[in-house]
Amino acid sequence: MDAGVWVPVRKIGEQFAIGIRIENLKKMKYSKLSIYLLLALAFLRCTKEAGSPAPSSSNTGVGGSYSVFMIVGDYLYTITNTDIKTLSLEDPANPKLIDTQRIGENVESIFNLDNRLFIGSGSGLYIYRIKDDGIPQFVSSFAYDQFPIRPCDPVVANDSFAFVTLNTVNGACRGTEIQLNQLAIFDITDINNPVMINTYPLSGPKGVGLDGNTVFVCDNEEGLKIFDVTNKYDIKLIKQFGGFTAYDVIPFDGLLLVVGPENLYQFDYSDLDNIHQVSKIAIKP
Amino acid sequence: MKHRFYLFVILFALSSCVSKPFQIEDVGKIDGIRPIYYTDDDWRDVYVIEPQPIINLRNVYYYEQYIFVAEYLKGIHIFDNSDPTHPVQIKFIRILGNGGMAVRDGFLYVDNYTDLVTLDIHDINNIHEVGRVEDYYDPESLFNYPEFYHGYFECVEPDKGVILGWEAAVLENPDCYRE
Repeated sequence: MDAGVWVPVRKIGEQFAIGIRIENLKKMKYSKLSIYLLLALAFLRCTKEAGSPAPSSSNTGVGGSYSVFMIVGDYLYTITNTDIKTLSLEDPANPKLIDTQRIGENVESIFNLDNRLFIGSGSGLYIYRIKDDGIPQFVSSFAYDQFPIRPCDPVVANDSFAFVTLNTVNGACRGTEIQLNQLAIFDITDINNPVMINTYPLSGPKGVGLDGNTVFVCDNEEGLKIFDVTNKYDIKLIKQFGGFTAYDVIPFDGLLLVVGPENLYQFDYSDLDNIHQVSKIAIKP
Repeated sequence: MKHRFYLFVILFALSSCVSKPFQIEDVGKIDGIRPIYYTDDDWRDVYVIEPQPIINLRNVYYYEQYIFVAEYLKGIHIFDNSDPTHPVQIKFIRILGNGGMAVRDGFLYVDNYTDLVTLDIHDINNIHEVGRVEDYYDPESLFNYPEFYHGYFECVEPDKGVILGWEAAVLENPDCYRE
């Protein structure tokens, strides 16, 4: 096999990657190589939002699904039920408010991936892009108004998919006759057009966490449910811990913190074939 | 009676009003909830005390070897999780009106009712306030309805003080309702 270089190229009218073998680099005309490189750069700019913030060397820890504060790079984002505010942390001891924007109604949670913010509300999922100056810019939204109710909705995401738990138990998110309790998976490879691709029924899900291809869901009185989501169209329940009520979950590097009304539990999931509980902290004595 | 109730709910839903005083028909005396106000002037004092029982957990946060547990509207519990099989509760930070938190590089950012506060936690045994943005939030936009509750409640009046929580009460012709 001749040595080659794989270069993604965008075809006009569509976006996809083609492998191109560049043989005999030395012999190739300079102009032809530069065209390939320019096209490759064009493709990369189209698939990644321009101006991703430089990776920060800072240490930020991680919060739960119902967080109303989120730090990304040098910026702190805070949400209320209607707005998002942006603070610059350039002077870490003195955050400075640099932007306020209205999002919608019943805003509940915020999640970050790369330079995107996923904001969950009772009426839908909002996706924002973080610009170079740290200020969020609206990209797209998915409204739940196709359902006659407004579910609650913690959300987590990776590059391609967002996972949202919808909950209408106890009128917490205003159920009527229709019960909508499920894990919903959105395909977000086209960030401008999120599409709901799959749902998994649950009893009353609340917090949700994601690490790689593992999704952790708190299903209220049914406890903690762990799913393998390698295939988004056929997700598998791989482990369930019942006997307690689970509200929220934070996966962090092999340790899972589960929040219940009476206890905080920690599970070790570093080996997915041997997920086990390691400790319990009582809340209500 | 049933039809009047449904009509009321539909009108309310259309208004998308959550808690502003609204032309709710008089219902006389009815069970509901009302805000508990903190009326002292020292609600901006943020300080550390010995561990407290966790009663109304709001959310949690992992940072280095610590777990922070927010006690809704009251403050933040700190656990030393150096040994995850034996997390130890070590402190409580009193922060009235607290609802959110995030940590970066040894600074803990929290809300203290209308203010955004920066706490230096580089030394966990010497946590202290180093920055504050006053009136970061408009008090009208804050906690103006009880979370996870649906029914009648006494409307919030920010002039009365910082809200610490809610308590059950018999209300007379309440002006606020959440569907």
